[in-house]
Amino acid sequence: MAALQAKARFTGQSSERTWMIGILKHKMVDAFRKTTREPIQHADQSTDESPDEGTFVADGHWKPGTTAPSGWPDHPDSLLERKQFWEALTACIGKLPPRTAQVFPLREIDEVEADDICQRLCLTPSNLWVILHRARKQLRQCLDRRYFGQAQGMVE
Amino acid sequence: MMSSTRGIMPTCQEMTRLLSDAMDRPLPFLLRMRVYLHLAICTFCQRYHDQLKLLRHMLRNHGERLDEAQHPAALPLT
Repeated sequence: MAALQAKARFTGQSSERTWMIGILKHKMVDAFRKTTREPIQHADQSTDESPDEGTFVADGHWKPGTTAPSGWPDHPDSLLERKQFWEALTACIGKLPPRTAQVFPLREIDEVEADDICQRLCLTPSNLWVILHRARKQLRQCLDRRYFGQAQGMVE
Repeated sequence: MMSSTRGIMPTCQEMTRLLSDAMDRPLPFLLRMRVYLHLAICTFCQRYHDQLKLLRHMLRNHGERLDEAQHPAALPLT
């Protein structure tokens, strides 16, 4: 692809073969740089959340008790009128890391399609999926603690 | 991509990622079947799934109830 785009700049000083290999080398270096850079870019997404640590046991199953999902009330619509629920949800969204807080509402409040978000924010699809996955996981857990844990505690 | 190819069923940890992914893209047929299989027998993942769907339902249909002042969607696009 890059070769086609740059064909106009090819001066003919070297054979096409060496030229193509040169491009390939640079592409490989680019790809390598990209992969080594990515963990740093992602650092902001996982600052207050070391992904999955303490949630699962070694074989990938839920760790019983602490973080395994507890049951939420059966009738979601009863939540609608609960001011405390919306306060908790607002607070939980406010705690998302900056990049996530930018991406998640686009997808879940403004209902922008995943492809459009990728284009608008220059994200790769897998990048976007990871961000959304972490956002959902964090929100679910936060609501569980802030609202449902408390609500169940009051009932009992 | 995560390694969800071991075993017939994904683990619970893999399920949290797959259930989220399924909300943003269609999963390949076989993977989808394996997710259903896991869901059929795992209460925790069923709850996780229901709760993700509840979150989406609440935000998409009643998002205006979030405190407007703290609504992070107002951030400018870069």
